[in-house]
Amino acid sequence: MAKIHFKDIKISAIATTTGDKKVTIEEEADNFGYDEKMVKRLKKRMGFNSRYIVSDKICTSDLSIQSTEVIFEKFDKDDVEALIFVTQTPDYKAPSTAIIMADRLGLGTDIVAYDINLGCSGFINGLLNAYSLLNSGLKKVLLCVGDVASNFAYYKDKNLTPLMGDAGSAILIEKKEGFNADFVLHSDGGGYKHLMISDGGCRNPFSKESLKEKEFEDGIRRGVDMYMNGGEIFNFTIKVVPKMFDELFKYAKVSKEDIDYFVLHQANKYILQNIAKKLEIGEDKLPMNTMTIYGNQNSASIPGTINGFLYDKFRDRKKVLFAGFGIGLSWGACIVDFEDVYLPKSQTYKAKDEK
Amino acid sequence: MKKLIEDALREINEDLESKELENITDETPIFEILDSMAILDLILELESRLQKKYGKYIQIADETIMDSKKTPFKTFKALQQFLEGKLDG
Repeated sequence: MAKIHFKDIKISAIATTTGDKKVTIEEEADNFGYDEKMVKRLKKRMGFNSRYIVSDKICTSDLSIQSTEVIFEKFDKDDVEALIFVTQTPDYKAPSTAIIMADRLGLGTDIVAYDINLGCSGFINGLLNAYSLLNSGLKKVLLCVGDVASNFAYYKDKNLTPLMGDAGSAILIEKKEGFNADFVLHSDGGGYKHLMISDGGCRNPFSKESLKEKEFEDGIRRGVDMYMNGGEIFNFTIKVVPKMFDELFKYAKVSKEDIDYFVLHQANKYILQNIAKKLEIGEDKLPMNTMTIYGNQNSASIPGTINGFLYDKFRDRKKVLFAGFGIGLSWGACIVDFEDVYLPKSQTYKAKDEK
Repeated sequence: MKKLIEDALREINEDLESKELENITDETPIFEILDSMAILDLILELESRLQKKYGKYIQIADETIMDSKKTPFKTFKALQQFLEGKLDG
């Protein structure tokens, strides 16, 4: 386990932009071969309802740039010295999208910019990178996270696609005395096959075969699409997340009573309910509705939950626990001091000519 | 415990409408009959009923639940023994 403590670093703003199209489970039922009974069951039992996805050709960078522009209406962009972009859906295979985004945002050339390829644990790992750069002497770092999951979740894959939403968040982080953070992080490549896109890299280069539909028991997909072994991912999550909480409480020398809000990656209602029950806390302290309304927003699901449901909760000093877990396999959590953070409500993407 | 599990299975079967769950025996192959969503559903139902009956939260799910070889949901009898073990533990 990697454990890291930081001091005098503050999250100053978080903004999230979701995809521009809202689709409901009823509208997509035919794609997944769901009958009326199944739709009713999914809504009642699993909380499936709607998700926000993008129209064609809109990239994660477009969503994150809109989020950043909202932040820059309140904060000076001149001191931003780094842009980190955490995504599995970059604009191009090369170069790093972060470099292009820095240019689009007018951040000049005196800036370090790079991408990190991570999904559900991406917000925690991105924060860790941002805090590390600030700890090394930079003044202000812009972290952008998110995915256009509709790019890799095949429309016929009933196992994965109904869960996924598109979103891009921006987080402004800067040096500020009196704000502490503690992180714990883990990775286990032994489980990489349980959640992956197999084709398109050097190991399995893209070919005609990559676009051929294949039918499996749990859905129809292609080599270029994300595959998820739901059972294995569930087993992994139930095994590591509660343990990680204990590690973090111990490392940060806090108890669950010291935490005002628990904001977790929003992938599985059972896991969230399970953790809430174990910690003996209610939904007011551990929000769990993001997937029902927006879909699983991958690395943007933690900031997306804040902008979606907790945007009016952080005027006074609070201690907040964030936790992300998933593809890699990779999992991490942190406890941060939160106060006077600029948190606009989540917005949907608007093309420049619509604004 | 037997009745608690039967009631939980009946509750989730209201949506599933599985004929195999209408006559439950010790050998009823629960893991075979239920899809992964229904297994999660059953876990939530059982946890909630156990909490109501025994006044404490008992976590049922662990890393074996969705493992076809190790799952304690293989048969009705196996599930009953698993839950009785959880209570004793």
